[in-house]
Amino acid sequence: MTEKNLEQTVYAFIGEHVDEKFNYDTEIFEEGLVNSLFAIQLMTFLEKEFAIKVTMEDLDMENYKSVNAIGKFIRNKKLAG
Amino acid sequence: MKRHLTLSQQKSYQQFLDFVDEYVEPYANDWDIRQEIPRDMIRLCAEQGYLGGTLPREFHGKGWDYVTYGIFTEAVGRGSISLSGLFNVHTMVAETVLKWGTEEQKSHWLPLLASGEQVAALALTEPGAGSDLKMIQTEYRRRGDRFLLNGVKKWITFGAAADVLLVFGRLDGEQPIACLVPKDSRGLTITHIRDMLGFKASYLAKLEFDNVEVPVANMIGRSGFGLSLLAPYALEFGRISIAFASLGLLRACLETCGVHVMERQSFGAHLIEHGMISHMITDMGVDLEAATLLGLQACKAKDEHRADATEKIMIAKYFASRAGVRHSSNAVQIMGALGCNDNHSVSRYYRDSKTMEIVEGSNQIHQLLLGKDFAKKAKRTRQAAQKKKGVQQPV
Repeated sequence: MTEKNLEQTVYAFIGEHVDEKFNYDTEIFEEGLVNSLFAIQLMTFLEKEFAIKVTMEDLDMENYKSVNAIGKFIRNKKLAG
Repeated sequence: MKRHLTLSQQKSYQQFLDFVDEYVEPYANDWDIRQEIPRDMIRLCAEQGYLGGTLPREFHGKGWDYVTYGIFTEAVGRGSISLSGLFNVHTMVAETVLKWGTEEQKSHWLPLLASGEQVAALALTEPGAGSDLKMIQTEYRRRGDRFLLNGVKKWITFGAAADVLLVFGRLDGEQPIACLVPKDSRGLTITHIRDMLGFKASYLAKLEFDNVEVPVANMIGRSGFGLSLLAPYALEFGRISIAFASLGLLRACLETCGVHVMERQSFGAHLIEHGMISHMITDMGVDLEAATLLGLQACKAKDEHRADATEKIMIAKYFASRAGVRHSSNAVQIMGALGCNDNHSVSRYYRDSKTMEIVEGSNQIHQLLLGKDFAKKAKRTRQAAQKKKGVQQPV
């Protein structure tokens, strides 16, 4: 997956659950765009789509606050192997 | 059920049915009347490895897929909803530790949970906080390498029988966290709550924490994620349990009433020949089939690690628990006076079914979330279709 595709993929997934307009920097949790179950759905999606495992060490809201933050988190996670 | 399973799952399912036929179903009414399940029964379940069903083999679990966990819960729910509560709460805690625990926590706790040496319960609900989890007031205050825990938890399934409790609270009144708290901690008072409508033998408890010292090392996950990630993650397993236990209850209703309506006669005909009775049995069978398919669909989504598993699990829980109430009520109606007696299983099915609509997210919470989700999807589909046709969207 290319650098650009990663964010597009995440944006498309979030877009399936959000009616309001948002961009790659919109803080989706902070601005209340998603419901209480979305965190689990997002985590499952990221694990499956990008073949990673989200663990206790990854529990930092900075990693998930926006599309760009998620993109950065995925790349770091992939680099760390 | 069997025709939807793989050969290996069919074999496991038959073992579960045999276990329940021999050790659970014949005693379930007695447990209900006594309002407790004998500790020997819990030990027997542990010896069978059932408490570690979903845990990986590296932690001495059985490594079941979620479909197998579902059909296990169905078999147990057929015999005793109260006993199914044990596997529900224990699995919620074990799976939460497996996902969010440190390597040290997993190495220490998971073999104990898998073997049943330690039975676990999930302590989330409070006297003033049920469906609205944000209302929890139980508080942890940090003192060096320990937390001081204060507060009250209520209606905790198997709370009066568990060895360790995963207790949710707020760190310094703010950030939600969850810690494993041993039952024999000083300052913890556990009171067995009796005389419930259903779940009578499920050891429901009130837990009072008065300056209970908890090692910081017992915190699962990180501060701030207790309610947004840990609790929903645990509850997903809870909802699978409720969906399949309700399915077992539905099957119990049909199996009990099916025999009765074929044998009992009134007005010169077997009951099944009367249209009103036939209608009730038909709806039982159809809903049993629908609930089976919804439950299996949800577990397969979970096994395939799909993001839509969350929604599928909620749908399965919502449908099966509602069907359980409707059909256990009809089962009482069909059985007549027999079904109104505490010594008859149908009376227990009726009382237990109502509880299933309340636990692990009330059905009203499910309506709130699912209803909005379905409507949003419909709107998006319509908008996408109109966009494709070049129709201007209404403002």
